[in-house]
Amino acid sequence: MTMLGQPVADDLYRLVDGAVRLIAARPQDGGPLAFPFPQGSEADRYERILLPATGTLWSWTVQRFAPKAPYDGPADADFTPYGVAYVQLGDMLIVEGRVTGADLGALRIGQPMRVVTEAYARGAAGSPIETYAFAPIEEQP
Amino acid sequence: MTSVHIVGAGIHRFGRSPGMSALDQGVAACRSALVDAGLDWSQVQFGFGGSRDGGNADAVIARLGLTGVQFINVANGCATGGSALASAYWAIKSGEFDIGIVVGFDKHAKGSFNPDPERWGLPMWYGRTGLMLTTQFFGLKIQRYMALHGIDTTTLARVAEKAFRNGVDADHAWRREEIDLDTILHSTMVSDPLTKFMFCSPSEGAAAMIVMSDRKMRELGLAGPAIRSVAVRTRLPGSFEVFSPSLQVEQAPAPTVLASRAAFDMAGIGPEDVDVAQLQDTDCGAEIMHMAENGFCKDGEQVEWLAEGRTALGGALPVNTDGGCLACGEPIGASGLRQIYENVQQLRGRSGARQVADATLAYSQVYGAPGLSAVVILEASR
Repeated sequence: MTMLGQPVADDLYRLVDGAVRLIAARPQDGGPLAFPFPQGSEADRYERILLPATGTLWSWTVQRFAPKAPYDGPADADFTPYGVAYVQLGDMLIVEGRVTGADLGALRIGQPMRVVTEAYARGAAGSPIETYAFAPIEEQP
Repeated sequence: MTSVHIVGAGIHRFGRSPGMSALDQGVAACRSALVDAGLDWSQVQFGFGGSRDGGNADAVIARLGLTGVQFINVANGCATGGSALASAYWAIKSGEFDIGIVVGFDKHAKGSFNPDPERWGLPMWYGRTGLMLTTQFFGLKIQRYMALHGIDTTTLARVAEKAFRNGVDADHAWRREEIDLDTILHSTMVSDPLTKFMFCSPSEGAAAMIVMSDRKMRELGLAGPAIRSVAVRTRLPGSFEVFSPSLQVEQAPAPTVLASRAAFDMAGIGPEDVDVAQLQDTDCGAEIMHMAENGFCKDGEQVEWLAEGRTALGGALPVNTDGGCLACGEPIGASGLRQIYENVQQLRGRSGARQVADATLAYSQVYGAPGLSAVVILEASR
């Protein structure tokens, strides 16, 4: 896995040994983990913790019409439906994200998924904008 | 102890009203509630109201008359109407006031809502990457619920079929024509597993209630259903709510479960005592899950309930007797009060072809982003 473009935001994920690891927040005074890592004045109360690179599909749907702003991916004739899923990463957290590289009709709850990156949009100069996404892990026959 | 009654209920029909602003519709609902109660605006001591896209609710007072009345604007997402009624209930119950008005109105643009992430305390990338849509949440929540509890898509479609059937007989409903099961199942897929006819749409409309202490009601010779309980609850860590970039692995009960239990406890009754219920049905999945979250059935029993028509008119527990959000659309500020309007009409025996025979206890529940629920239980005064 390599960088595909400019990340849509800082502090969302990190490449570690070729795997995409989401950055979660652990409150310094204990309490449940959260994703994404808070920005601004809240950040001081948390420490960064990397979530597992793989997990299982917890629930899914398909976004079949182009969202309104602030969505900045392909619209109108360029729009293609994309999957949206919650994926449980180990026993740590269930994270929501786009689905890429999948046959959307074949998704099933419980199937193994991995965290990847996806160039979901293009910036003003046509350069790709990247975010994290989930992709099915091909099961060995 | 003071009991609180609804002595007047007014509505401006839901759907599309070209040429009328949301405020126009709100004022119309207030006037019809006053006429219904036989009161003059000058007698009203306080108001609570809300609107998401229709401006400030307290703008109604400039039209109804500048009497110096205390008026507070309420903003609680889809639960705005329920929250406004709750506030009025507490104001009278405290002994501070005797006569109040509650109003909700709205008028939304066509198509899905497009919330601003930063207003919800969420980062901009969440909206930019196309994750911040209520329709997605509804699809994601029922998808998992169906897998866990063996609900099929036909059961989903039966909810919409019933809603459109009930809407035919409700003068204030938007969609007044039946739609058959097959058409619902095979309409355009919007967010799997939910099709176009399984979703409500943002719409327009207004509703208003006159609330009164029992003492004042007797003094003026009026009558109306009693508010037996009102409960508003917010989410716990671990509940699955709209606009959540992440969820806890350990799941907690939904805010509706908390609000429902509190309302039943306060009223001293149980789900089996309810004669008619209005449950938040922003989509077919929501009504199905809310049947269980409100304690009316167990998870998974909805398949049998819908197949047997237990929630249809004439069934053991008619649900969404005016077609709910599915047939009326959802003007956010007004939607919760539409439920109350429908229950008041049912308890007064004024519902015509959709009347539930001998309705005595009526239940309503609204759910709002980012995870709150309001429940109101009314009892007929006979």
